[in-house]
Amino acid sequence: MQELKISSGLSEKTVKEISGYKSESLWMRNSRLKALKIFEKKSLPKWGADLAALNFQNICYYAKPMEKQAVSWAEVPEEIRMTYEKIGIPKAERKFLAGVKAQYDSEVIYGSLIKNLKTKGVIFLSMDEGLKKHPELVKEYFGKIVPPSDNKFAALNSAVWSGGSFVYVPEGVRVELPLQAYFRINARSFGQFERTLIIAEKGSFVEYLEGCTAPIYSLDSLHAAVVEIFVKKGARVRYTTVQNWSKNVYNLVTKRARVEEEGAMEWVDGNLGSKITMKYPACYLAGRKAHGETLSLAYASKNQIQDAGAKMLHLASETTSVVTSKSVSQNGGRTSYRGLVYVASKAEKAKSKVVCDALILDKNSRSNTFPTMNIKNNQTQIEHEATVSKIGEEQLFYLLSRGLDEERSRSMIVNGFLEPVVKEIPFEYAVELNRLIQMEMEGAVG
Amino acid sequence: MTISKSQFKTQKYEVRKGGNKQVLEAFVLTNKERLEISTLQHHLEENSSSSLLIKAVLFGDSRFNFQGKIKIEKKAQNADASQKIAVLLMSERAEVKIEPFLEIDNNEVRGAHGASIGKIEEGQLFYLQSRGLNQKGAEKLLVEAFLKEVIDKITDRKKRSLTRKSIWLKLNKAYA
Repeated sequence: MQELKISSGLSEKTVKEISGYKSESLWMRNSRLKALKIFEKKSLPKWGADLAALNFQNICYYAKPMEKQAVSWAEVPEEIRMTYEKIGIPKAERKFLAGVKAQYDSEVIYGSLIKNLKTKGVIFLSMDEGLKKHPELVKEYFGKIVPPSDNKFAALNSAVWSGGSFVYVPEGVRVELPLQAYFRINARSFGQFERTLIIAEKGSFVEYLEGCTAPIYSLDSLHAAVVEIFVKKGARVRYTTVQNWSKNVYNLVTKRARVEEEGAMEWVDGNLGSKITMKYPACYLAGRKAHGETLSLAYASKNQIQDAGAKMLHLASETTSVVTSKSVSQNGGRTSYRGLVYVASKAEKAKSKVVCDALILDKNSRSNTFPTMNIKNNQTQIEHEATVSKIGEEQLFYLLSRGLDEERSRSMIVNGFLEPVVKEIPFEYAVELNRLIQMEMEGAVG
Repeated sequence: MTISKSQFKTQKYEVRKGGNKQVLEAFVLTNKERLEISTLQHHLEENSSSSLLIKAVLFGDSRFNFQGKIKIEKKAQNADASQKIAVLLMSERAEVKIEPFLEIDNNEVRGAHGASIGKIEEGQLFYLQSRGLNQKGAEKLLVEAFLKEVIDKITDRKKRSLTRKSIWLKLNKAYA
């Protein structure tokens, strides 16, 4: 393996070195450099959480795959080690998740799945490999929904991206088992600047899963990923994320799907960790009868800001969208729902329903809701509801009267509150999630 | 309320200890009228309550921008704040932008808002037409019914009758 010499900080030199190390084509190299220029010109968003403390020059923009986190098991924070134990993560996975072991040995378990996919013509590779093996395909779609000019962090990602997944599902193919980020052999699942591209051809179906309920211990302070999804006519894609980055991380992600005629896109977004998360999964409903759905769950505890939501753009007629957002804040945490429902003037008969509920568990915590509805066509039906409250006294009393202690009662009520979103998350994750929330609430009874 | 071609209104409602504020507004916009409203229901002290109900009917090329904020401060225990916006879009060219914001700093509260945007229900229109009303008449009746919720809630008799009159005048203008 060649010696890797990447300059620290962010500059044209760094970007050239990254591209050189990956032996990329001229096209991608130039694309990165253009994106860097855009990044330098763009300012931080004037809304959302306060990002002033981010120091772009202090960040390492590339690390050798095998030495991602040179941390020994003993150095992993106590709470994180304890959490793995409590929520039942298998021993083999713990070290990987903590970044101690560089590679999770998934070959034996998932090897046959990968073979099966290949026979159907499904492509599932790391983004780096996808670019190498299918350059024309990648070039056709890369950056088309989230161009570098979209926002400062999309520009950053476009300049220094590494890792992420490339998924291509041919016409009419249904991938029955959800594809998971860590199925990929030799891939770092939890990269800082992951770039994921999913293309679902006509009539196909695929479900993609990423993340983990167990806290991911990351030395890196900035994670700016970009996910682009193309849902062609009649296809359906579900993308589930459960994020639990350690509480030093800025998690700033741009996720967007373009949905064609009669296609359907479902985002299931679980935000538990990080210091600050800003993420608004979006659907551009570009074809007639396209459907977009975002189920969002956010849990903010001490020193955390979860600024999440959804964007639904109705650009064609008879399109529909549903947004369900459930957030919980405790111990001084802050949750915000930020959303947009836009109906273009030519989008006849569009329908949208947004429900965002927030639970504030104690006097020190906060919750905000910032929805925007921008409607330019009258043949439409737009509904929006939001409620903010604390745990209902009657509910609590009922459980206490049934013999449960206060801690258990409260966590049960919170899990019940989050149920509409949690039930859409695959079973194993959901179980871990429930246990995690229970843990978060231990000792946090106000 | 009368609206000239373009109007921008900002209304701040500060609700203090034990206070209650109810805001009721009904608007009919025609032609190229543009109305921008920004409201703030600001709960500063405990046991305060507020409710806001705004209904707007947009004809022609009118535009309605509404930004309604409910802000509940940390000291405002037991605050109860609600907001409801409903908009009827009567023409293809009418446009509306609604931003109901909630900023809540205390958990012993009830904060809720709801917004709905749409057009007249086909079924209801058809029913009235089958009863002998022409399209205009049926629409007018349904718009009046839509706005009735606001008018009925106005307790001051004089204000109620004034509001009813101005809406009636506006609707006549729209259907002239």
